[in-house]
This record gives sequence, structure tokens and C-alpha cells, in this order.
Amino acid sequence: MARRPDEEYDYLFKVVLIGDSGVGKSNLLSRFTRNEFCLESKSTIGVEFATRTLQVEGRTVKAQIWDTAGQERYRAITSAYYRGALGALLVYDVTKPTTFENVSRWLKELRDHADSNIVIMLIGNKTDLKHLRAVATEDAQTYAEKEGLAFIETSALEATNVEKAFQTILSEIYRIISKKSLSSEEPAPASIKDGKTIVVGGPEPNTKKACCTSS
Amino acid sequence: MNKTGAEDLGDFYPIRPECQADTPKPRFKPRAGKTLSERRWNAAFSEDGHLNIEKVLRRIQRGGVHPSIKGSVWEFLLGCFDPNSTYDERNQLRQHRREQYSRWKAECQYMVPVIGSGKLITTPIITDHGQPVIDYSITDDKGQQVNSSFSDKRSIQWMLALPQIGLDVVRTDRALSFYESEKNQAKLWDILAVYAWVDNDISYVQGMNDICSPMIILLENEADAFWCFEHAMRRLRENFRSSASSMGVQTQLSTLSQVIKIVDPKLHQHLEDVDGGEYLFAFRMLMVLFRREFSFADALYLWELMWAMEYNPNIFSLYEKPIAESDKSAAPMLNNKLLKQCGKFERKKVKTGCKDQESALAVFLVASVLEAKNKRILKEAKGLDDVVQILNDITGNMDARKVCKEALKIYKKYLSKFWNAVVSSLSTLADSDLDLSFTANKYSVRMEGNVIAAALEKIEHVKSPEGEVLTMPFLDLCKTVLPVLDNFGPAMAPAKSDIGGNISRLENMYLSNQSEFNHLYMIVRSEIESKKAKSSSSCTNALLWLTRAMDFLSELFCNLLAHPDWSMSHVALKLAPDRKKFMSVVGVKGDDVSDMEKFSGRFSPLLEENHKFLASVGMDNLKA
Repeated sequence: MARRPDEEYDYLFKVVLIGDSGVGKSNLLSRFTRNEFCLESKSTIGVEFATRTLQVEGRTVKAQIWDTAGQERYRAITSAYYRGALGALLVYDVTKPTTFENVSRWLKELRDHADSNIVIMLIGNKTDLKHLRAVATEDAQTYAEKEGLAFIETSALEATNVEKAFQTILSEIYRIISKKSLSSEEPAPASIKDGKTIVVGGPEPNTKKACCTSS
Repeated sequence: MNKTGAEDLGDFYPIRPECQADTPKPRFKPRAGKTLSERRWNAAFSEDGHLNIEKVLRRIQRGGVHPSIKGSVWEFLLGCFDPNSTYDERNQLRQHRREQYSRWKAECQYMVPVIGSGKLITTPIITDHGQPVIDYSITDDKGQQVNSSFSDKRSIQWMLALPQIGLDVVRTDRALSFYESEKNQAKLWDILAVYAWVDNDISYVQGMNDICSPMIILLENEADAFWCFEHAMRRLRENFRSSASSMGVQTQLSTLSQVIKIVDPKLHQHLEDVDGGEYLFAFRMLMVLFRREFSFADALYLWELMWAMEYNPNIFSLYEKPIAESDKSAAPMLNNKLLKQCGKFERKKVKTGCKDQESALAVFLVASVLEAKNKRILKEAKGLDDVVQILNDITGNMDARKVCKEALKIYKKYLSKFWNAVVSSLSTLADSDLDLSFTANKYSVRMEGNVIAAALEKIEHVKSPEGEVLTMPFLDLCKTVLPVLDNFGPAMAPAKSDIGGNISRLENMYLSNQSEFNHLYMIVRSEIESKKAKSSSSCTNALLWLTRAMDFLSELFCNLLAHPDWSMSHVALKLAPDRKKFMSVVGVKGDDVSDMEKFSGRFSPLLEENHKFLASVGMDNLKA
């Protein structure tokens, strides 16, 4: 069966949203996929998901975002969903230091269960709660650089940087995918069309941090 | 009172005005003549307080419970109270439970003073190592929120769970006006906190808040709400059990997988193809019992339908027994009168002798939801994401009663297909469209040694010199043959555990009086004398089903012998594409079928003898 025209896409990227309970994962997702924010949102049970199709580097990408429960008890279920994920958005709450301290646990979790090439982006959410901020941008920035993660601060409530965060991680995934396909096609470049769209002279890997720091 | 037959629910569970647009509208409406009304409920009690549960159940299964009485009806449905008790007895029990709750709450309060203060906690109060976290916004008691003299593992585990409860409580049913009140939120927090303390094995897992929330709305007294929740958790707690590698609910998910495989193999295959064979997409439905798929009022309606259908008159006495004694086999037997006091689902279950928790009605509710979406899933789902999407679309669009009705139908279909396959002869099996794929490679590892040779040896000792069938040797023989079922894949697992259950029921009886029950048929005779034989949980019943299951295996052997070229056999097409493989797992080497012939020649007359005996005492035609 043919897909409906609006469902046509060049790439399907699976991304997981992880992080402590209550940091705003589900609202980041609803902000990105439906441009909605729900003050009455409920806790995520197990795994939920949403998609959005968008343009990334001139290609149509269907982003399939899996939203997971934050509680440790759910780990056995949620980690099953890391399989096949090309990206992970690791979210903490800038007003809750423990959620930032736990980031290292989540990284370990990813390293244990996810693909080793997974693109990881650290997200400090809830920047709208300015008077309650308890995690300094610089600290998170430094940490992200040390761990080789992309980093951005967002507010799902005010819709600040949410689009940018997703765009950045999807672009990064695209870059890696196209590089991979380029190298695998080296012996016989089968598809010139594909070859053209790969941004060979694109940003160097280390510039990714610069391009997505919070403004 | 309303004469049109339907009334508005808005007054019972008011929604905050700003949330009305986003909240699914409830479909449930109390209907005169169908829904259990307050008047009918009150009329169902005798003067001293005995409740005619049978009458009440019939109503609830037809049209749910009127919101004005849900709380007190639920207390019975969930087994908090015995319908066969007086007002006085229940008041006493209620008083006793309220005191118990306040003792537990006081213990909690002593450790963490915020409990019971009308406030709640959403941030950690201790570190992972049990050190108190200093909160400088709290001026008294050095900024600590805990009594730091508690440093044992249980206390620490519990204190670590508290902020998670808080985080979830502030997100629970926030669209309801009820939870605008901080006091009501704190009540939810207190109950979940006390529960986590008392049931430290399960503690708190996200989703329990969704289960608990309605109880607090329906029962004004906090202790009563706690006990109602605690009883609901008795059914659900295994789902919430978690380890590093699995969650309890996965047991129900694998039952679901078996059910779909049997009632709708095409759908099951499709789900496997899209990598959904583990049925994780149904996870949330089972964890929070459809709270997210139905509006608030509809979920309550669904729950009471479900609990009414699952009702067993023994539930109260089972729950009241100390845990050590609550062995399933010790449940009082159900005579016909009691059987009438069972819900529709439970009655069916009791009659078939099925006792496992895994095949709860909820599993069949999910199956019914999947079946309702069967066409769309088959047609549109190309990936697991599409399946999730299609199931997301059901939110607010399903009729609770219809889902229950379909679930019962699926249960019946499942049972008939399933038992047909197990106990009927092979020819019946071949005619059914059940596909039991032969997976010898995968399962043969569990078969050790030569089954046939071992069985052949054991059959020698089944009878006493006087020709009486001996209990233990017979059971032992069955146990030896039983692993053959493994070759038919996971679909047979419930059958196997059921057969295993029958064996152990008989075994226990034997052990209770070895000299009296040394002869197998003495067990049956003694049950007939005490008029227990016809009960679904009797040993007589167990022997009958065990014999029928063995018939199946015996026929299988005969069939193998009768069709040397198995691929030509009608049955083989359905059961096993490769006869050779099967032969090798049961221990037949090459074409030497002499052992199998010998065994088969002795086994089936033995089973026939069982049937003859059971027939002679009028017990050979007990129905499932």
C-alpha cells in the first residue's frame, strides 16, 4: 500500500527522550510535534511516542520520537526502546540539581543499551522559571563538552529553543547517516543523487557544540 | 430522580473550566433499569445487613453503578467486605482498619513529618546513601525533612520513593476540579506514601497514582480510600513488580500474545512482523487499567464492569487469610449456589479450573481493543509506531460496555479453541484452524534423555499386583510424558501449567493421607462421598482433565505410528512439518519405533481405564 502523500519522507529517524521524572520530556515532545504545552500533563507510563515530518538539510525527515517514563523502575521496559535509536535527547530540569546530577546515570544507561554511534544532546529544560534556576548554564555546558554531547537550554512552556534542539539533533543524525552511506558507497558510488545531498564540507564535528549552545 | 433514563455526570466529577476543551467527554450515563441505582442498592441489603450480591452483580454487569454509590459498591466488588456479613460486623472491621491505617500513617509521619500535614514533597529529602538533604527554605529542624535516626534499608528505600510520588500526585487528574485543592492532592500523596511503606516489596511505581486517584474521590474517609486502593492493588500489584531486566506486567503481556495468537493468528503474525510480538504497546492499558484510553467517568465504569465480571464470592475470605495460608488450593470450593455469585468472567474461569492471575479479564479487554482495531492494524500498520498511533486514536472513543462484552466473547473463543486443541482427539485438532507450529529446535533443549524409554519403564509400575492404579506412580508417569508438550511452542504453556496444576492437586491430596489415597480411584470415591467431586476445584475434576490431556498425547503417539510418512498425514500439516525431528526429540532413534509402539499400546488402555472408572461413578462427562 502506498503511503499517503503527506507521509512521504526521505528518512525516518528514531529519537528517544530520556531523563528524570518530571523534567518536561512529554511537554518538549508535544511542543515539537503539535506545538502544544499542557499544564495538566500526566506522567508517562512506559513508553509513548509521536512523530513529525520536517525538512532537515533539504531532505524530508520523519522524526519518530519515543517518550519514556522517568522512574528508575521502568528501566527494563524503556531501555528496550533504545534499540535502533539514532538520537537521544537527555533532559534535565534547570531548577532541580538532582535531575542534572543524574545525567551521568542516564549516559551510562545509553552506553549500555543504545547503539554506540547514537547522537546525544543534553537539554536543560524549564528556563522560563528564571527565579528558580539552580543549574548554571556554564556547568552544564562544561559537562556536555567533557562528555562530547551537544547541549542546549529550552523552555517547552515558552517554546524557546525547542525547534532548534530537535533541528540540531536531526541535522547531526543526518550528517552522520550521510557520511556513513558515503563511506559505504566508496567502492562503487551507486547513487549520485545521494552523493550530492551529502554536505561534505559541512560543519566539523566539534562545531556542533558551538552551534547549539543556548542563546 | 431522573425519568429520561440518563443523567449528566458533570456534577459528579466536575472538570476545571479551562480544561474542558481538552478532556474527552464521558460516554457513560447512568440508565434507569440498567445501572445499579441508590434505591436498588439499599434494597439489596437484608435488615441486619446481608447483601444479595448476586442481584447486585447482575445490575452492575448490565449498566454499571450510579456515581452516588460507587464508593460503597466498590468496597464489596474489591473484596474489602463480605456480602455475607452484618452491618455490625462490617462497622467493626471498618473501625479496625481505620485504626490500622492511622498506626501506619503515624509510623510514616514519625520518619517524615510532612506526611499528614496537608503538604507534599516533590524533591529528594535524602541522598541515595540515606543522608538527609538540607533544604534551606525550611527554617525549623535544621532544614531537614526527615527524622535522621532511621537509616535502615527499608526506611531509606521508602524515603527515596516519596519525591516520585509527589511528582506524580501533582500531575494526577489535574483536569478534575477535585485536585485543584491542595488538601486533596496531599491526601493522595499520604495514601500512596503509606502504601509504599506497608507494601515495601512493591513500594511505589508510576501508574499507581492513576489507580488510587478515583478511590480518593469516591470515598471521603482517607483510611477507607486507602483500603479500597489496597484491595485493588491486590489484583494489580504483580504488574508493578520490577527488576533490572523485567516488569511484572510482562507476564500478562505474554498471555495476551498467546491469546491473540490463538484467536487471531493473522493479527498476531502481523504484529510479530512489525516487531510488536512482545505487545509492549499494550503496556499502559494493563498498568493503569485503561485510565488513559478512557475518560475519567468511563474508566470508572469499565473498572466496575470488570470487577463485577471477575467477582468471586470467596474473594473476601481469601484476602482475610494470613498470607502464609492463602494458598490457592485452600480456597473454599464453589458449589452451585456460590457459582451464581460469581461474575460472568469468573464463573467461566472457575468452571474450566483456570486459576492463574495472568489471564485476568484485563488481558482480554486489551485483546478486544486490538480486535476492534484489527482491520486498521492489518491494513495500515507498517511499523510498531503505526500500531501505537492507531491505539492512541481510541482515546475517548471506546464504549466500555462493548469492550467488556467483546472481551468475554474472546475469552470464550480462546477457551474453546485452546481446550479443543489440547484435549480433543487429533482429528478434531486437524479440523480446527489452530496453527501450532512445531518448533522442535527451539524447545527440544528442555527435553532430557529418552522420554519414551523413561515412560515405558514407569508404566510398568503404575499398577499394584492387584491391578489397582497407584496414585504416585501414575502421576509420575504423567510428569514424564508432559514435556512432550513443549514441542508445540509457547501456545501450549498454559495447558502445560494447567496439567501440572492438576497433577499437583492430586499429589497434595495423596500427601494429605498417603495410606488412604494410595490408590488413585480412592481419591475420587472419597470426594463423591463428601459430595465434593463435582466442584471445579475437585481432584476428580483434576483427574478427568489430566486423563484428557494424556489422551491427547497418547493420540499423538498413535498418529505418529499410524503414519510412517508423516508429511502425508492430515495432522502433520498442522502440527509438525518434520516427523523425524519430532521422533528424535521424544527419543526415537532412526526408524526404531518399537519402544513407542510398546508404550502407546500400554498407555492408552490405562487412560481408558480411568475413563471407565470415572464413567462408572458418573464423572466422565464433567464439562469445562
